[in-house]
Amino acid sequence: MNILLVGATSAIAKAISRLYSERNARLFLIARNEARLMELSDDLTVRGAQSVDFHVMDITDTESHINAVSNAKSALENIDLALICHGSLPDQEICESDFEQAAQEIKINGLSVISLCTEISKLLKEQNSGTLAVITSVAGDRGRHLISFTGLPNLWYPHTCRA
Amino acid sequence: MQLHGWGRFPRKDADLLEPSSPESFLEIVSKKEIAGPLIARGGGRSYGDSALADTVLSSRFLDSFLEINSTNNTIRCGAGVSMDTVLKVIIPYGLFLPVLPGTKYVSVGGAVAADIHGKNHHRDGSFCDHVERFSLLLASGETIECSSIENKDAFQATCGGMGLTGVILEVTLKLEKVPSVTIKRKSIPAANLEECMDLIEENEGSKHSVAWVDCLAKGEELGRSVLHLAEHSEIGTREYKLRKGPSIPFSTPSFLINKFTTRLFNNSLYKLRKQTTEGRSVNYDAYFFPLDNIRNWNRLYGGKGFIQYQLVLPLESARTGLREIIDCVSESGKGSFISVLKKFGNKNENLLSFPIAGYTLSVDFKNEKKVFPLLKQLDEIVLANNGRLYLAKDSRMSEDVFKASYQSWEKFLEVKKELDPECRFASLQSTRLGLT
Ligand SMILES: Cc1cc2nc3c(=O)[nH]c(=O)nc-3n(C[C@H](O)[C@H](O)[C@H](O)COP(=O)(O)OP(=O)(O)OC[C@H]3O[C@@H](n4cnc5c(N)ncnc54)[C@H](O)[C@@H]3O)c2cc1C
Repeated sequence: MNILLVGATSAIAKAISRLYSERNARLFLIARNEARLMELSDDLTVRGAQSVDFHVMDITDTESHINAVSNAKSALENIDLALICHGSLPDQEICESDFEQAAQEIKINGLSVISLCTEISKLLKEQNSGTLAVITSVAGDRGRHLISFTGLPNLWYPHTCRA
Repeated sequence: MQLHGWGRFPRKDADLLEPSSPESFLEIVSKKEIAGPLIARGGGRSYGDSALADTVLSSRFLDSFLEINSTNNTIRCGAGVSMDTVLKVIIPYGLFLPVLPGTKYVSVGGAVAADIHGKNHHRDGSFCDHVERFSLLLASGETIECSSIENKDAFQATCGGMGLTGVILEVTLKLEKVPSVTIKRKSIPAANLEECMDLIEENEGSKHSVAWVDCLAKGEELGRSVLHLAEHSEIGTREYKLRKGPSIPFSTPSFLINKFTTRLFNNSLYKLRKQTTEGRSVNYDAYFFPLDNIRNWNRLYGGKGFIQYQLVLPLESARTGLREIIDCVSESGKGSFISVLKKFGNKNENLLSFPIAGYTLSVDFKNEKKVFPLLKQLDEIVLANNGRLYLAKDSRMSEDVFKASYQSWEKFLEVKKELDPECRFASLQSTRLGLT
């Protein structure tokens, strides 16, 4: 199985990629911190991954998404599963009083995901196969404020993913 | 939160920190705000208070592999990786851990810190005899590399040093090539202790050897037992396998423990009553980790927990000394039904490692007031026979007994002072034993 993981060094992505490594999957990891990506790819290789490649990227740099996804495509050839696992845990109070911060959170948890979904789903359509999933937090559904920054993905993605 | 070891006694309110990387360990250890004693914790499978302190640093997230070398047969991993996870990775390569404890949920760091032994100590020594090197985070914030050549003093104090020299971060282990992980087992019944020890000696060539002893039998039958011998089978599977079994959901009334163990023991005796079972093939998991199949079996001893008393007596005095010990236990009627007897090979040079050439016996006791005077009595027999108790199982040994039986404790303290001059690393156990 060929798997693309975005936000690959997050705890949940790490756990998922370990499970797939045990099944000898081929993995392509995208995250921001190169040292941690290198450590993770060593770990996954020892655990049995058939191949592990990675790409260093700041997720808010949406212009670089096309390039990252096309690198994943060249490494994996066919993408069977793409998992978007990145995200931040915004501080609601700060976001309500600081627009810059709110905009940054919207970029991380909202726009970047839409951009990636757009690129990946184009590719999956071309392949005529593959699954795209976005991992969001249940915290976003709980006790939602009028404008909840944690809840952004839950509000936005059902629509984008369906598009 | 309240923490305890596998014996569920003693308990301690502690701050449990789970640093996410070696860097966050460094940050915490160098932070002077955490004034109280610190101690590392792995799988929490030591029985007593060796991983209890005001602040406990879990190695849970030191769980990465760094490298496997199938030419040199070595693996490098974080100290928080469990034996089970190592096995999962190495078995497909035809490799195996050269020393295994009775549970696979021990961490690699915990195995180094207790210099654990397996059922093959008589042939292969203890865990740290197969450790090529490790990195150790010191109280100063410095990380040093230790091996039997590099920083030798730190190596010998840390192997078996129960976390008192610092935090073990990464370990390189030498592995063993095996033809399969199917285990060929032979079980031989023994009418009493003498016969059992004769059988152990006669079968010293066997790779793995462990006897289950009935510590409640008396008179002629004192020490009646079943000796289990094992080898890796030449033909068999190379598949990692996890058996799934029941779980004990909460502490049960402690009288159940004897019904439970009695049945286990009787079953195995029943199967053997007529003859020795020859060459039965079983999966490694069933042979090495028979109790892992019942999750949380430690709850069977009830809410107050239990104590495992593990002693070793040197060869010269083992026969008479063990007889005296088992006699005492069987007279009291307090020990658990099954006790475990193994023969150890020679000791190594690590300062606080438990094994010495001789015989080791472990017996479980429910935690109750009346058991403490009995254990004191056993301590005296152990000391009179030049034996000692295993720190990884201990929760109640006195400073005097410890210092009289671990001859290298002063040398250990010298090294500890150099590595940890302010004594930041300390556990309830080390304070009780007068080491910190
Ligand atoms: C069912 C069962 C069977 C067992 N059978 C055997 C056996 O056959 N042979 C045997 O020798 N032992 C046996 N044991 C005991 C066990 O192997 C040891 O107690 C071992 O130390 C437990 O490792 P752990 O990771 O659970 O460590 P913990 O119990 O969490 O800690 C034990 C000690 O190791 C230290 N430590 C842990 N991690 C680190 C680290 N990263 N750096 C520095 N110090 C650290 C702690 O400070 C503490 O002093 C058994 C235990 C059980 C529950």
